[in-house]
Amino acid sequence: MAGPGPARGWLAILCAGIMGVALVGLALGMGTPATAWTAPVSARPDPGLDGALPAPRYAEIDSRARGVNAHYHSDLRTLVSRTPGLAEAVDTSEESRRATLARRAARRAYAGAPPTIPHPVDANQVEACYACHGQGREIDGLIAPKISHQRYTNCTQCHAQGGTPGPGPELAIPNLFAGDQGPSSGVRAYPGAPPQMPHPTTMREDCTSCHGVLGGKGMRTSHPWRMNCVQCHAQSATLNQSYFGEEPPPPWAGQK
Amino acid sequence: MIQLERRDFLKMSAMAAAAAMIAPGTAAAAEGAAPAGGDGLTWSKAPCRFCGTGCGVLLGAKDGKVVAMQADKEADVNKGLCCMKGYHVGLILYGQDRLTRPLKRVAEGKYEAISWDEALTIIAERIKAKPGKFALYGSGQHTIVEGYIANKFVKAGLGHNHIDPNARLCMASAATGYNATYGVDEPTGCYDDLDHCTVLISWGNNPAEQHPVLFSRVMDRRLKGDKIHFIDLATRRTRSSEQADEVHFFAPNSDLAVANGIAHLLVKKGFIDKEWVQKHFNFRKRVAEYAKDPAKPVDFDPEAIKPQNLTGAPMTAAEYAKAIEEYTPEHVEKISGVPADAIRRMADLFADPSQKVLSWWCMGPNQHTRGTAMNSLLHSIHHLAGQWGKPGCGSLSLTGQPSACGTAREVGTFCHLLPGHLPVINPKYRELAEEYWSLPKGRISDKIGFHTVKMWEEFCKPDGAVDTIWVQVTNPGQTLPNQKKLFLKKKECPDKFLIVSDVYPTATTALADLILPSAMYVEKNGMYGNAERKTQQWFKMVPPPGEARDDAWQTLAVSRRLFDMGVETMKDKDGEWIFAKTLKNPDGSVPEAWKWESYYSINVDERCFEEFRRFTRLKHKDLAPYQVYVKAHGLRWPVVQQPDGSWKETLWRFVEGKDPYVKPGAGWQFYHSNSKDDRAFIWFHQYEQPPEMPDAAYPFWLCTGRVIEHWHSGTMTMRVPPLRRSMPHAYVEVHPDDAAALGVKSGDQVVVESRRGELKLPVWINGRGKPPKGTVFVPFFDERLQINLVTLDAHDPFSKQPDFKKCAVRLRRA
Repeated sequence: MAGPGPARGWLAILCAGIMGVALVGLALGMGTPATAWTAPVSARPDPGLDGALPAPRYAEIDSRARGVNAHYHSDLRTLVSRTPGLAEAVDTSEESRRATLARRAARRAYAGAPPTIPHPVDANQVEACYACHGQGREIDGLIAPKISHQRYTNCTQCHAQGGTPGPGPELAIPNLFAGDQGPSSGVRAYPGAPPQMPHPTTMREDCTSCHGVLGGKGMRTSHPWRMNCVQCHAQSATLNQSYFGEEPPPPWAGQK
Repeated sequence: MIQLERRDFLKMSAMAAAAAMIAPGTAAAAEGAAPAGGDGLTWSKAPCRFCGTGCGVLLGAKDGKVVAMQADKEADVNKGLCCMKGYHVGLILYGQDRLTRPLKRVAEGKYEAISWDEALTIIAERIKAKPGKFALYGSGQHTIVEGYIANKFVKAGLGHNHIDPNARLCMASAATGYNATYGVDEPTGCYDDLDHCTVLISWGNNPAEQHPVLFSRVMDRRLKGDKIHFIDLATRRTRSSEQADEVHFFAPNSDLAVANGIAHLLVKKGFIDKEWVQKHFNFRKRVAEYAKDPAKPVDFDPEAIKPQNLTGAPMTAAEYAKAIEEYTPEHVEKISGVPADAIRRMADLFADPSQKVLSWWCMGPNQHTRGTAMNSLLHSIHHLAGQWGKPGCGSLSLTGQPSACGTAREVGTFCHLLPGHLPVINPKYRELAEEYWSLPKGRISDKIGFHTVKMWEEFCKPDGAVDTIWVQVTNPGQTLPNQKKLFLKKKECPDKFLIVSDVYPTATTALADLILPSAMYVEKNGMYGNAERKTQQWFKMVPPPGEARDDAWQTLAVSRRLFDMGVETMKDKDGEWIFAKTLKNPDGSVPEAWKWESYYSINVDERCFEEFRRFTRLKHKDLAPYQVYVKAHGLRWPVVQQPDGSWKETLWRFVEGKDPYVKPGAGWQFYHSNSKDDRAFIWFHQYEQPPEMPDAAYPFWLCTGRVIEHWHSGTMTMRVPPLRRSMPHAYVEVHPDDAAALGVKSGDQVVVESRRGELKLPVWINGRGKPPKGTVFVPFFDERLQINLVTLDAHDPFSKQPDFKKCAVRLRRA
């Protein structure tokens, strides 16, 4: 901490803050109609003073849900966000790729499952997710990948929190499901050929989420300046299930 | 750096070369290397196993195991999107403690493995001794064919109607609401309304967690610039509220007053004189008198709540206007707490012809002692406002189970129905069923069987009218209300016998005398029907574990055992086994499907479905042949054959041009009208207080429900690690002020106690949901913490559906 001068300043700000909250609380209290059932009309409070939500009391905060994230340094001074340049060296080693694949697999029941969220989620609003995952960020070596399917607005519909203990102990029943891990790399027609995509593109509509400059080590493209991935890397009609069921098979199917 | 560039340059050159020959190149590679273009998995379609949304899922199997899933892009329900449960649906097969052998109880808590043959004999002898005291408790998770076989087994094979599904706890009020209003069950619209509505009103509903795919279907439209005014009428703040433009808390049970408030203003605006009201609707009120004082609801006269009185008593438009007169916005605010201005705003939106207003709901208006009334009112305000019959307008009831519609309602596994949604009290329909099933005249009983609450009440009384229950595909030991009275009392009745077919040990198997291991989901063939009338089919993809077998086979095998034992009612009028004609080969021989080895030598599903299909035409719920569903990704009934031989589904019912059964020129035609004049009803229902309200001794409202991670009693999802890790344990949501008054903070234990039972739970303040002051919420997924020890068994007089959403409790620090 700094000397007495700044400390007094902080104290003044703190006092002002408390008084402010108290005043807002008073105003809100006075504004509450007699019936206990009336709630604020708008679900999206105005960011101005009138709509400000009172800060939660300490007793209301579940300390476990807000515990320090093991993967995360929460000291703001050390949080540096940077985006690697297009021309920076890319780690394409097999070792890194395996490590990245293993980390991905740990958060997915099978290849293609929506990954679980490795940190606490306090907010239900989609904006909170987009703050880091909207464009993707690297903070102090930790990557928040860019969302690869930006047309959806309800992140917690598919992504469950993983490893965030809620209230009470888990019911410990093992599950014997052995998820398909998918191929570890795409097949090349000949050495040096562009590999074919080894996974479906559904929900993985933005290649840069995993293969861009903020992709996992060993999975990043060596040529991030190329903007049109599907120009060279063919998708797989089978993996994309693009002629399933009642759809007539494409004209080339069955021809040798 | 230079090296990298050089390598890239080389790669880029190679790409150019590849591009020149890409088609032949990749084709050659695909032939040579297995993974290219495929992943070695066999992908098959199925509807999701969980809620009533009916999302299409593709499951990938390898070496007899499901190993991957994806959302089906061709399925128009979900268009390539699932929720976290759907994306993990294959994992439910692989909990380590799957039941794999039939188990017989030998002592308290002790079971011994027995053979299937012995198990079938035990059941058959038990039924043969007292067929009239046997009841089957089925499910909205029964596949269509499982339900059909169970239904025929009881109604044709035992000659009584003591079969009822758990759907009684889930959407019975939705069914009575539709019947009371249209004379026929199930939604008139469909999910496509979500793509067109401009105003969406949620009534006691949390779709962001409970129907997330449908919630996203409508909310994601905002990204495209569509304006959707979303009004959340709620009893607690939920994830759905976060996306709402308006959130209003209403006092539990006062949703009737809110609907009446909207109707009152529509009448004031002159909507009662609109052409569509005069042409297409009649006014109705209930037969029983309304209470003089809403605070003192009348006890129903049993005469007044006879099923025949579901359709109510006529009233004139003037009488309706007079009845609704007292529900001024200010009066409604006093009852419900919803601001008068908000009622006016909603009425204005309803009255605005440029808006498309859609109401949706699920368990809020259903698990309600006035459930039939509330469902009817929801349809009625849409009728009055003319917010009906156009894409994007209407009243859409959602369901919580994958085949609550397809099986419980359409197959009619209720104690009052025959297949095709035909009431059993109607002699015409009994005769018809006897004809379709080749039964001797009079075989089908004219007496309505025991509904769920009654069935378990009788079972839990030492000398009650039910002494054996066979439970299939459900978990009443956790989901029945007032557990002590309706389930745990079984312990005190040593002569009662509980048979449970299930896949995992549950709160229900804990009291079972005989446990049968079942095949689940894609371990068997199946069909489900979702909440928008869509029927979906799937094939068995992987074998069940150990000796687990299909529920449909189990019922067939017991039926055959009874037939072999000479039980007369298991014979049809020609002395054949009641399922012989159903399963017959084209050459007239009967495949021995009652033997497990030959069960899959034919497609039992197809043969039963073809028999069932005949029943569906009577109420214009036409289903297509089985093979049509094999090719389709689900079809919404009525599915009607076109001149070119193709089969066409129906999206909107009773609307000319959309519904093939509406006469040209009719515009709207309610061809199952209760008043037989092609008109539907606009109902009046007075607000009355619920049977139990908070008082000085029990000052809090208790609401129960679900969370996104877990499905119903959690027997499946609590065995899926990613879901369980996310939500491992039940809790009680408490308002911060109430918690402060109690002196508890998040994580502290409190006891939630009602007049019926109590439960210790950790407090969660500002957690998943945020109840208003005076309300607490507890989810029911945790088998270790069963909130249904506390809930109330009071139920709606018509639907017999209990109210899990409101009762009075008190809290104390543990």
